[in-house]
Amino acid sequence: MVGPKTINLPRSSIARQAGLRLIFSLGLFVVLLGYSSYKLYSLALQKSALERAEDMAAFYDTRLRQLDRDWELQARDFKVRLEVTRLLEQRQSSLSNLQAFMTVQGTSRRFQYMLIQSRSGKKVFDFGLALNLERIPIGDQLESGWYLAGSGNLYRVFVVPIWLGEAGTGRMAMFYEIDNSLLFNLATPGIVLTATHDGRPVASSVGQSGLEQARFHSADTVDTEVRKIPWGTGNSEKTQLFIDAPIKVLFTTTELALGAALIPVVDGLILWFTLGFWLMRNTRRIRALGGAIDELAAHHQSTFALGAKLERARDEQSDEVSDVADAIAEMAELSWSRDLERREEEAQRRLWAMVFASSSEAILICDRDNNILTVNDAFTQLTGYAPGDVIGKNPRILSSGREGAEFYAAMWKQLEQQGHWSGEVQDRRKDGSLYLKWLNISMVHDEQGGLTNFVGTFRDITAHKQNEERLTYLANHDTLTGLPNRHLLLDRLESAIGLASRSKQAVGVLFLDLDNFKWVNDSLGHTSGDKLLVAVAQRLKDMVRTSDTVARLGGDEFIVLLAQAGGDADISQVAGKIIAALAQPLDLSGYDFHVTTSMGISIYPGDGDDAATLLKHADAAMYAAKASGKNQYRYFDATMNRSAMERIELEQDLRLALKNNEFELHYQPQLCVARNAICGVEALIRWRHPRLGMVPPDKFIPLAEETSLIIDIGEWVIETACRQVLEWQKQGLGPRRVAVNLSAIQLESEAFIGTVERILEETGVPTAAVEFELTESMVLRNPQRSLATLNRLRELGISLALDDFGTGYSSLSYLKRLPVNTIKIDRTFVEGVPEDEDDSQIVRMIIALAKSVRLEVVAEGIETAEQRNFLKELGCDFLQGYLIARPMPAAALQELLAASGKGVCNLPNRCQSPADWCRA
Amino acid sequence: MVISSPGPRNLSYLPVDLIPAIDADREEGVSLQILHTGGGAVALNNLVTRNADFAVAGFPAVMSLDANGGDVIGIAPVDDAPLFVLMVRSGLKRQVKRIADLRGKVVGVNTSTKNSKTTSQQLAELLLKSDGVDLEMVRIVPAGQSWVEQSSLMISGTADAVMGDEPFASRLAAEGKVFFLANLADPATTRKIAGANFLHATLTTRGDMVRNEPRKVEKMVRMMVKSLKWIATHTPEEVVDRLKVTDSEERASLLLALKKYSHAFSHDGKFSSSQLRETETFFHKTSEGNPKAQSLPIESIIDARWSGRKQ
Repeated sequence: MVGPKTINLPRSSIARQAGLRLIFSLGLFVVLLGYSSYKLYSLALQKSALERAEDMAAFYDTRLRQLDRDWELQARDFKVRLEVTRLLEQRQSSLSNLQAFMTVQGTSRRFQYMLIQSRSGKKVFDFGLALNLERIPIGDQLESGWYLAGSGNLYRVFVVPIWLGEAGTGRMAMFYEIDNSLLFNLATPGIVLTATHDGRPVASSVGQSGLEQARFHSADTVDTEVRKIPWGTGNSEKTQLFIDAPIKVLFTTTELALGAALIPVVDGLILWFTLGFWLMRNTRRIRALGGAIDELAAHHQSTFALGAKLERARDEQSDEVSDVADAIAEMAELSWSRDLERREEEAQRRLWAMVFASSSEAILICDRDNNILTVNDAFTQLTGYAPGDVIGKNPRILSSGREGAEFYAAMWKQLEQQGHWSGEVQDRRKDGSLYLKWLNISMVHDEQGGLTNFVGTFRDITAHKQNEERLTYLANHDTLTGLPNRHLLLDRLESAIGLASRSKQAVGVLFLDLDNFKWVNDSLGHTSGDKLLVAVAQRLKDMVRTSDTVARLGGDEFIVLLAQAGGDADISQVAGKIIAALAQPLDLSGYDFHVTTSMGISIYPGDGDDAATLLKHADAAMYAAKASGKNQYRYFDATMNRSAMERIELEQDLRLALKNNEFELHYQPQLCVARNAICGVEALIRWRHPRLGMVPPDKFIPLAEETSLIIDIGEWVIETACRQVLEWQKQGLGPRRVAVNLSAIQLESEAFIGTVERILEETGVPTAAVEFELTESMVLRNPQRSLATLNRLRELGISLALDDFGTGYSSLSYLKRLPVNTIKIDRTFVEGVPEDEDDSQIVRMIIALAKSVRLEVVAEGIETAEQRNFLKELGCDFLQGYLIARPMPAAALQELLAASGKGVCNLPNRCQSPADWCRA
Repeated sequence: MVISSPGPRNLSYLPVDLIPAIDADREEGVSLQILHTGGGAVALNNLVTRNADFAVAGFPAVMSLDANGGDVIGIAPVDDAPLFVLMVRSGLKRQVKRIADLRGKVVGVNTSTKNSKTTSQQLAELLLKSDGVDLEMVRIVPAGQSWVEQSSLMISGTADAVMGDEPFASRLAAEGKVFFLANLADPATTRKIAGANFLHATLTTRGDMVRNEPRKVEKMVRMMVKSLKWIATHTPEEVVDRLKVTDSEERASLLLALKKYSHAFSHDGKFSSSQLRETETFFHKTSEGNPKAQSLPIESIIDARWSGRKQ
């Protein structure tokens, strides 16, 4: 481990160090720059001053020579002027004139003192206040020299010979004072001139103060370059001119101070903006890098703060720092993913541990030698063995011994080949009880492929197995009767076919449908129906061999499968026995009940070679049996198949007909004999099939009744007829009533009365205008229910007509009990009158009977005038038949009725007036 | 310390000669060296050319120098009244009765310089012009400002008239060599002159002296004031004695002038505002045609911090 080595060292951030170093380097830079600038500046000044001083020295050397020459020339010039005045020749008399001459020279004379002496050296004349000399103070042979007065004033003396008249040639000396004024006028700006004589300053261009300062220095100073040049010839070293050339500064002190401050500041700023700014920026980046590392150390993953710090460290740069930032980002990602993996692994381990511990499946883990290492709680709960009971032992202690050695050999073989095995095993619990379990065994290998463990998981499937068997049973059997259902039947039928095909035997399929079972169900209730079905099932099972199968397809349909049927005779014998057996009374809740069955038979291989075909053909044969009068059996033939198909198609079309509005009502008038007028009409349904054309009622009404579609069709008929008759009545055309034929299905329906009441209410038709026609057989199917329904209809005010009277029992007791208003003589009796004596007698008796019980009589099927006349004579109330009028659509009848009212009625017996129809 | 002044023993500048005579310089701890010149303009030239740190000159001459670029400042008055006498050679007494008669004559004035016209020249030209004499009709020559110079011009006949100083004029007149044609002490003369009561002899220094060596200036002013006060408190004889005038004629003339012009000197060394106004008027009058001189305010070249002011 590498520890934090710097833990005891004082903390000093890079930013601080960078700042200090930058400030130090800036300061050093500024100092060095300032110092070097100062030295360069001083050197330049000194060099400039040196050159200037040299120039000045050369200049003043020339200037002094020129001055000497001027003074000398002036002396000679003045000498000439004096000689011209000849004032010196008359010296005594012209002294005042000479003085005046000198005075008027004014400032044009340059000398301060003039002395004229004779050849003998005696003073002749002098002028000027400066001196008062008796003789010229320089040698007789000298033309120029220096004279230092007692006052300290120095004079440059020029001596020229001058004519004194009779005294001969004397000497005239001109004294030019070397004073401040002279040097002031000589000095150029900035230059200080100091004249010295014998080393003593005698004049300064800056005046008295200059003289005082000159005493203290005559050499170079820091700000002055001093040059000295000899003045005059000969004794040149005595008099010298010092030239103080101040080092000419280029800048004032303020400018220097400003420059000294400004240049380092500007340079410093430049340095700052070039190096410092960059350095501080990168320092901040490094600091951000450090912060990122701290963030990474704290969270071990990429966080928003880490991203922000790394972004600051990158700072949109591509350099080493950004490389490190990228590396940290990658490290964070890596750390995060490793951490995630570790946590996922931990979570996975915890999960597996929890799964292991809380699994509802028992788990046992064995080592490579198949010794149990561990088991979970579910194992203990399922087997009763605690971990201490089994750990270190072979799992065979769980074995019940029910599985043979082959079983285990196969199991180990598959396990070794595939690495896993699954299957049912019956083992024994610690308490000795057996249980069936579903066992999964997996082999676990290490990375090198070596076997390390066996993992076994299992659950108790005893209950599951039982449920499964129960479900299988339910899936194959009818719950009501316990008989095999269609599924199992088909399975067995297929098996039987397969077996029969190999054994060249026949298979008989007997398709049974109880006759009128629907009536039982509807009238006696489903409970009775169910009891009936159970009883039938039991009776069927009692009738067949164990090798045969009795199945229930649903409803009242049963199949008897004769697996090894010998031939048609055997099958017919069985079929006959079944029909006979079922015809025996059945005890339903203490009541004997008679039920018949219709049976269709198909035989393999003649009627089909598969189960579906055999069933379909048996079904068709069963319909044929029903159509043949029920309670019988029929063998399948090809025609049954076609008619069955037609019937199926017709049933499908019938279901759509009402929806597609394909039904229509035709109305056949009923003539009131007494009034010779149409007093009523019978509504007759017609089906205008889109493909088959007009389908007669006897083609579809039975089918409608079988399929119970008659309920909906009948409701449509009643409602349509009611609306039509009401419409006619509103137009003043209407017949007195409209008669509608009922079906037994309607009559037995519990909802029928409610339907009628709704129609009456919705249409508003008078109940007296409605008449329902029914037959004796309809009532006899369920007399009690039918009578109740009829009575209720009567209570509503609806007329009832007993149709087809005379064809059935025509029981007088029924006639008495039925609440009918009218009886309709069946057409079979009318056809024979008046020729057939029997028919005529029967009709005569029916009419007499009706009259005796005050019932109206309608004779239908009147086709001849003889029939009409005969019946009129017998007192028949109403006549109906083609002679009167054929059934016709509503529109046609409306035209007929309208025409009758206008006297153009083409009825055989013309109506008196439409109003008369209703008068009765 | 060097002071340049006309003289020696020119009455108007006598207080300068008296300073070392009464040891006023030594009392101030300095040794005063006097550079005598032939005129105030020359003294001022010594001042500006650093031969002297101070000068005494007529203040119109100071103003003339300043107008021509000289950096000079008046720091203390010396005279209280201008003492100028326009004297004419006795030999011309019949010819010259009035100033206008000087036309065609030679007139001596105190020696001027290129940059400064002496007060005597300014006064002479003013008088000549006021009497209608074209300056082109006279020859003006330097006459110096000492007895030797001025007397030599009169005696030799080098000049016909001289705008001279006292006591030289009175001495020449007493010797019969000259007669006075105009005298500023004579009201008849002053009536003709605007600002005739101008400030004449004035202690002057350079601007750099005022700025750089105010203590030296202060000492100079104190010495001058002491001299003036000494004169005011002593008799002419004491003055003359202290000046150690040995020549009897000179002594007599000096005594005469001191007595005659008892109010010649400022007695307190303070600038008089009214006199300064007179001086300004005089200078502007004499400098007509010179715009720079005309616009020069006298107060701009006066520094009375050491001497003081009065009305």
